[in-house]
Amino acid sequence: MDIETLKLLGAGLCMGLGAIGPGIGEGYVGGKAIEAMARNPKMADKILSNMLVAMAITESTGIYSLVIALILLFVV
Amino acid sequence: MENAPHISIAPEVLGNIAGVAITNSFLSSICVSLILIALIFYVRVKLSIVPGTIQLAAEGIITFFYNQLLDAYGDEKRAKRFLPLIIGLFLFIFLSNQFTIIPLVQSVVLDGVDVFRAPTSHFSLTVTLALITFLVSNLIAISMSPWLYVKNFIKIGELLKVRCAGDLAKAFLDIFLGVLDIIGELAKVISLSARLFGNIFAGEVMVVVIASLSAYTQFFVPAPFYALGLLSGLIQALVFSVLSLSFIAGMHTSMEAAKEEAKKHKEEAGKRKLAAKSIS
Repeated sequence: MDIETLKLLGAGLCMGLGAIGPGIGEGYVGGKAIEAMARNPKMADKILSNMLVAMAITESTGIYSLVIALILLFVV
Repeated sequence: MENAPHISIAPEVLGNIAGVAITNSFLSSICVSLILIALIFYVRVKLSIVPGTIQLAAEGIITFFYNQLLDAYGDEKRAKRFLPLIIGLFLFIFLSNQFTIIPLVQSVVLDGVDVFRAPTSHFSLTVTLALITFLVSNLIAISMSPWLYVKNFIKIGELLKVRCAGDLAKAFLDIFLGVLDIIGELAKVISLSARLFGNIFAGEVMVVVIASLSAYTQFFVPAPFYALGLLSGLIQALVFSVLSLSFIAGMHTSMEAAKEEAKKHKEEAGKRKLAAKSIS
């Protein structure tokens, strides 16, 4: 395999494998937040903003793999 | 791949002014700053008891961050001191994320190079913003007490109190934890900047790739992705400012706690000395 093929393969694998963890994590965060909102609708606003922040943090590993995939595709 | 769109992580250079390269993201960040300044003056001049739409939005943003800061600090004076920094970060990032949504902005092309580009899709800008947060939080901690700040990261204090083998292991664990703290502090910069950059740049790349797939996907198909970009731009701006707020407040309060503990430690030592004196 030449280097171009390996680059494309690496970028695809990086993004695909890196998306597994954040997917599970965000689903967990969202599910729990909705559970909490259903139990206590008065707190829904506060829970929503906290949920968004928590989701963004969970997402960060996915974003790292995205950045690495982009670097592999367009820079290296 | 022959009709693949031109995508580059580095921004395109438009020209040189006195040896400094003017890139398209730099130009747009200046435009964002000008828009922001104009908006601020507009709100300031139009200030009234019965608020208009923009004033209402501004009041909402200020109240939201003020409440967040109050939660983090529990102190009105300090919350007011950090309010401008956090709101400035939020507004700048929010406007930069949404900059390319402005009609016709993306159609301005000079010599085959886009004149405008979302400023936050340039890694240098997001790193700079993250460094501002990093420097503010650390400089405040240093100015509060340089000695305790160094002690927080380089924990060789335990090594001096070693009495037996178990203590030695604990002391080395402490040193290791201090090194981890240093790495964690640096990782904050990378995670803050890479998150913002990754989200915005990926949104742009997605739109470009989908628009260039075929002639049929040029017009209406990218619309949902633009909508997604709008939402994620708002959320990323919110997340960046809330996280930097919590970093700054966390550093501040932890330093305060360390100071308090050191004070208590000193008092206790003084008491013990007194007790020893009274016994003798």
